[in-house]
Amino acid sequence: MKGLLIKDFDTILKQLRIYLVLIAVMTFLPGFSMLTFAVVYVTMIPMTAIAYDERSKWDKLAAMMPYSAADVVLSKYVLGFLLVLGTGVFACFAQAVVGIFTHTALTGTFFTKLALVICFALVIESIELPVLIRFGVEKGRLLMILFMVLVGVGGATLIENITELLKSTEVRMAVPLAALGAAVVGALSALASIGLYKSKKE
Amino acid sequence: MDLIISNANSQPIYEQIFTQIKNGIMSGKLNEGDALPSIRALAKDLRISVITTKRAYDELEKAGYIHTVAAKGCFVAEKNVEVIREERLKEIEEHLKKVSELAADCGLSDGEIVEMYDLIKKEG
Amino acid sequence: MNAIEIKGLCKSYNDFKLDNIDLVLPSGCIMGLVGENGAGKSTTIKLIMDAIKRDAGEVLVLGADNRSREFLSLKEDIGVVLDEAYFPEVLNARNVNSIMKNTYKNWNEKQFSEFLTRFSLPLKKQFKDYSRGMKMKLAMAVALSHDPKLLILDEATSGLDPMVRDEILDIFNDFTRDENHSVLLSSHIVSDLEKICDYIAFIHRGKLLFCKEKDRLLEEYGIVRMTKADFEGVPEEAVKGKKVTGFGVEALVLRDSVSSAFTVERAGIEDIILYIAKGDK
Repeated sequence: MKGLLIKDFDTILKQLRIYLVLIAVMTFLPGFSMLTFAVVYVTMIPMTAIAYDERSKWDKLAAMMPYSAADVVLSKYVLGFLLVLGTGVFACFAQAVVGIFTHTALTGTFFTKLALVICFALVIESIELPVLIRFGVEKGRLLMILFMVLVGVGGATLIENITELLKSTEVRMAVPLAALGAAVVGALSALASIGLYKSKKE
Repeated sequence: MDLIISNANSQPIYEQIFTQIKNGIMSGKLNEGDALPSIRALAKDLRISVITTKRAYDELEKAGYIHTVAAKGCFVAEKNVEVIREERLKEIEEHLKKVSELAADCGLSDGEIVEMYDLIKKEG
Repeated sequence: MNAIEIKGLCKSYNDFKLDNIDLVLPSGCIMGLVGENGAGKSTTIKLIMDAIKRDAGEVLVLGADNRSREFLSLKEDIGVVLDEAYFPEVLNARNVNSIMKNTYKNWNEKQFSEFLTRFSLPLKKQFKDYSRGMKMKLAMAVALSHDPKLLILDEATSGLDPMVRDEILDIFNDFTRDENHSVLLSSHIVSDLEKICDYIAFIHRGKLLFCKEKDRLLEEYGIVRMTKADFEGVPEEAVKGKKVTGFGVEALVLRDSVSSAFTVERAGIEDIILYIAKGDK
């Protein structure tokens, strides 16, 4: 799988560079909504990797290599998750730096919100990947944009206001629950994707 | 050992190899015990099929010109070369006897016979 | 052990059917798969690699059923060059090296780099700027650089100029100096196959019309040209295909079955294939 990840990272490198500049700007801006947007936006990047694969009919070549269907599918999940987590870590770093200038420390609330946003982004990916694998990037792209507009923005706004909506004990429970939920959804999604990928074989 | 394979003439390639190796053995260019290139190496060097070189070697072995030593390769067979050479020498003796008879018939001297032979060699 | 063994292989599509293919590629040999576009060569190759599912039949590659678990690790020993599938266009040769290093256990970086030099492939140029010939050469370099035992190539020499094609044929020749190395090569450029193959398998409209030793084909068949009247005298079993023109008859015949009174010309593999394909109508 390492080879596949290297391939995907090399493929999206250009996108990643542009994206890094974008989120660098975003996360340094005060306020959390930009951060949420960044973490959710990163979920779109695996789509680029899949698009390039489709353009060059890479899957046909991969079928000739010692990669199982599981390897090929899971590498996309690992890619997606690494991107989300990476962005989250970068966000912490960025906010910490901002905090130095504004003389504010990172609060527990910040971490809670960040953790929830990460879990949310992972769930988005868990929905996105099977769709892309089943329908391909062309058709999948439209579905995903629709999805992002409706759910992405809505969900992100929800999370931003999470601490206002819930009581403190519930907030403490929220992160572990969200993490568990994301993990379960992720696992189910991966299994479904592997099945979908295999069913595409002529 | 030089082997020339021609695609143009209709003689099957394995036959061409068979003949050329056989001639090499008969003429003494290949001596008994000499190692022949492996079937595969010969095929690849000549850019021909391995199946064909194998066939040529099989025929040579059947005819007694070469023999295979397991794990070592193919070698020019021993006794047979001598026997064949003996036969050839006998043949040449017969021919020479005939030549001398015919020469005597038309009054050619020994020197003239040798001249004729040199001419033939030059043309051939 | 045979490199490839196929028995009763069948695959149906809506408008095409690969029908009952039996094929054996002995170890150490080069087999050419020849046939017109759409004959079933690519389908056969995809079935061999289990890239598509077979409807019926058995396929053994390097001794193992290609649907077994073992086959996944056997892919380490198989180098494949396909007609139209490549690495993502934004990657370059250097990226490919990093990827393959982490894909194949026996990836030989030095050998890959030597092939790149030999084929004049630039390290940092993106594949979207590669010509078709360059893409093929890169795929070849990849296939050869992980110590494969079996090479499978689907139309890999089409689109390459004669010098490069000749060089690649040389590479196959050298590759099979080792008796454990085999090559299956599909092409519609019959002259290439005639140069280096040990076996020729002719697929036509989904059927395997023959699979024979190339040199035997060249020995056994010949072409005769004669008047229609003379042609009556040629035994039917000897005739494997014919063309009737305004000037007479041209026929593909078995040399042995034809009287020596007739002049029999050499039949090339392409001739044999054309005549037999016509006869199959």
